[in-house]
Amino acid sequence: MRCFVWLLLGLALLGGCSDNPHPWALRDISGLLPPLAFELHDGSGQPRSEADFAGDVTLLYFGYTHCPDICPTTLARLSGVVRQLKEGAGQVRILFVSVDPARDTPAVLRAYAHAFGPQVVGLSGSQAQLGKLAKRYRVSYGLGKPGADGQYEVSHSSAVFIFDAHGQARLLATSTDSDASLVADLARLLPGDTGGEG
Amino acid sequence: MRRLLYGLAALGMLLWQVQCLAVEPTTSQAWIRVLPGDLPLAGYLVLTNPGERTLTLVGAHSPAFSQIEMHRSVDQSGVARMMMVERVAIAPGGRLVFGPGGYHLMLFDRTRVLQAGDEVPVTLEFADGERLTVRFALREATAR
Repeated sequence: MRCFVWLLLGLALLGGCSDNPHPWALRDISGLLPPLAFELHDGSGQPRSEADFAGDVTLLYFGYTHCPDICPTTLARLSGVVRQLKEGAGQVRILFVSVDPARDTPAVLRAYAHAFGPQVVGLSGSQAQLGKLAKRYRVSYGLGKPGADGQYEVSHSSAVFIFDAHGQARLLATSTDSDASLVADLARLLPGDTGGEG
Repeated sequence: MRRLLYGLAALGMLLWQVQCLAVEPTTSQAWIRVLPGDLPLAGYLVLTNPGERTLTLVGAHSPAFSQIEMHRSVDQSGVARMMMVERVAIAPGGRLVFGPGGYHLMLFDRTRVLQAGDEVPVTLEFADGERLTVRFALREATAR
């Protein structure tokens, strides 16, 4: 009987392996991070939550608009990748969460997100709301000490968290992943795609 | 004799000028990503030092911005940060890439409306007092 249980367990494990004959190009984080959930506001000042993006594949990225290099470089790359999905692009949303709400008013956020295309949604919130979201995805951010001109720098996570259309955390992309990897994996996550996604 | 001295002096000046020309750095791929409003912008270019002396870039200025700093983005274990850079040396025959995700010029407080498709002059300042004015192409936010 005990052998039978082990056999079943072994088969189950084998089955688990054969379920995914095509490994993801990006880092697979399924089951490692909780589903998408947040309470923030958008560029119109309207409250937004994960429910507003149900049915879409979402890319979550933390940054701030006074960041001239990494943030726009990442957003330009993500919006370019999403455009490559052609008709699938409409099912993908890039959620840019500013961790600098003092400078990133809804108006600033709206203009900024708009510059990167229709798939980009600018979001921010109170420090409590942002802290909760950052903690949920185990990312850190910090606001630097303002200089004489009142400007300050912000450190933020460089990772992009990717959620499927059900809001489940699935993949993690970093700046070292190729565009081709992002395009291929996002295409597999699109609702209705049958290429290896169950 | 006097003619010989003049000749040598002229030759010396010529050589000196040729040497000056030789150390002139060359630039390519100079562009600025335009973001909305008055957000600070990043400028990128590739600087090549064909001379025989190390070139040290110490700053930049432009009539289109009230302030320009040199910065470098770094990714430390998944956390993105920017560091201010006071000077950057380019070895003889070397090349320095100011590009997305690395070294960049940080351009503050535009003094005029900037639109993708236009150009702005930026003057690079070197430690030896040399100046080099480069025309930077303005590109849209989604440029890569």
